[in-house]
Amino acid sequence: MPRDRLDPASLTEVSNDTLLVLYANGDPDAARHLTGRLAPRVLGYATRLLADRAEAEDVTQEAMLRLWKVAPEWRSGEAQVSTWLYRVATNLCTDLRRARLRRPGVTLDEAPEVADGARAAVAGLIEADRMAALHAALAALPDRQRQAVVLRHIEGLTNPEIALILDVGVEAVESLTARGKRALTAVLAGRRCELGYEDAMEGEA
Amino acid sequence: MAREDDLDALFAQAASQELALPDRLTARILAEASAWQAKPAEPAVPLKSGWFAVLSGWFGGTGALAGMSAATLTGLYLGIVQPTPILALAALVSGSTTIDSLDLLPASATLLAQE
Repeated sequence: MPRDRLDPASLTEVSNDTLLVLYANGDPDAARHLTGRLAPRVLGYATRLLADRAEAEDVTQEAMLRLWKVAPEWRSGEAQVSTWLYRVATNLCTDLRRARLRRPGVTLDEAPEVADGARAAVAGLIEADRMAALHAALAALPDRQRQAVVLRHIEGLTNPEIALILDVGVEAVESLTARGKRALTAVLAGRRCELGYEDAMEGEA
Repeated sequence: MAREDDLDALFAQAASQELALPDRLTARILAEASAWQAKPAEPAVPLKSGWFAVLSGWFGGTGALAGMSAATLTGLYLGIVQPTPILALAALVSGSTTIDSLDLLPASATLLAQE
């Protein structure tokens, strides 16, 4: 048995950082544990940014591939594996969205306006479609605002972590999330009845 | 419910919905992981135990130990057998004889007489 291989059962309690070092040292179980922990988070994040499941899966595979490639040079303790992976996924999603805009037949002029596009997207939703309304509203935000809002309020990361991922200062993150939330609130405000919140309000009264 | 609360509720609902990783995507990711993974390092060959291994370690390995053994045996041989040329050379070095009296080769007259 190689020296750097641990008992597979004990890997569930090991940090991502240690798992990546074990992977680099040839442990055959480390990759499976890292994939199980990190890939679903990347997939969910990319899906929320891109609103396209197939593209999100491609982003997840590519981000994980880059993780395998960087493993031999990974310097333990310098960065969190999950933060590094979110950053890679963010950049890949940004590239994909830019590529969409460059495709023939889709121009910047045809891209939906922030408010109008989102309002149109959430029109006619029923209560069960709240998630669809949220995703549609998120899709209408500018890239940086959407990334910051998703990382902060859905992925549950801290502002310093988001600052590392987006390569901006903490104050910029606070500004991005605040503006993003305001925009989302404004977009969804007119649809409260369709989303089932008006009934709740009447019940409270 | 206030509007901000509506949004927070939507965020909480979204956060609770973790997407399952499709099997085909898991398989692709793990296949790439396997392809990029370095092979496990072979365990280092342990040194043989025993006095010879310890001695080899002290003198820098088996080769160095063999050289030192050969030099020791050669010295022992020269000390016991004491060949004439070596004794003459030793006397010269120690100053007990002069270069004029040193004779490292047998006298030619002796050889001629034998013929």
